[in-house]
Amino acid sequence: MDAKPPLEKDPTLITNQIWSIDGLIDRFNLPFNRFFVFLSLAILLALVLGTVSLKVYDLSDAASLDLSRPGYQKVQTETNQSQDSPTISPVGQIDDKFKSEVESAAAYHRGLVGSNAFSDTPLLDENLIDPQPLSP
Amino acid sequence: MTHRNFGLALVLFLTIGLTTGGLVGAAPVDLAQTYQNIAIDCPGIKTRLKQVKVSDDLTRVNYGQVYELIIKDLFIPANTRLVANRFDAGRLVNLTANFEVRLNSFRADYQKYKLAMNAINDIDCRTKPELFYDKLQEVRTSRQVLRDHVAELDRQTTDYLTEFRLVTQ
Repeated sequence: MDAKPPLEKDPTLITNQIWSIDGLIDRFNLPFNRFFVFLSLAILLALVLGTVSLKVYDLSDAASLDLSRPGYQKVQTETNQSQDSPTISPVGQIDDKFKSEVESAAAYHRGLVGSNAFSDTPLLDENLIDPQPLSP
Repeated sequence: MTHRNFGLALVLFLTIGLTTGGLVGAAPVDLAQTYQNIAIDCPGIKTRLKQVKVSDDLTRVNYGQVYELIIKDLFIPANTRLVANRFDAGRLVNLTANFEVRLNSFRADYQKYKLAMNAINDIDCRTKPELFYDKLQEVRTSRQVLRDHVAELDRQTTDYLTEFRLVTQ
């Protein structure tokens, strides 16, 4: 009875399969099964996407509001809903209609931002540091 | 001569009187009293600061959204349309770029303001009213910077509209 030589893995096959889960296991000699590697990759992808989302959330400073908290339902109603925001088309003629659209869009947006934001009033001594406890 | 001396004396008298009166009338801030008030009403002050913080966070998010919309939905499409129609929109593009730079400064300075607010909230104002008051001055300064940014962004929007009218007239 002839003994068959042990099967050797084709290196080109491994290279071709580098982006498959089996290819990864073979390539790096991972001591895990396919399911474990698949699960690890899924978790890694979720972590990356979660980090990116958190960064975007934090950059907009919406994180400090934490609108997802039930206690901030009142705040949620106070945030601007920008669905009705007027937009200007980047294509078309320069006519009176376009000029009027730009003027009205500017007026709309400026109406949403007041000029007295971050006023010093709430942090003045007389408003923040209450003198009443010392009054007779 | 007598009249001259009298005039000099009068000027001197008025100068000294007004200066002294001004100093007395200015009523220097009684810091000791302020520190005492802070220590006594510490929980109330902290509560009011938290209310200010929530209100400011809301303002920051809302204003940030509006400023982004001004760039995305107004400035950029208007510039694009003007350029496509061979209008000289160079200055408008510059104004848009300046607006964006100012908006980024606003965002960055709001982070500093937020950190200052968080820092002051961590101070025990009952035992360290002096430190609390010092930090409050820093918060006020940071807030002033934000107010300046908002005013400047409003002014730049006005400048854009003025230039837009000039270009399209």
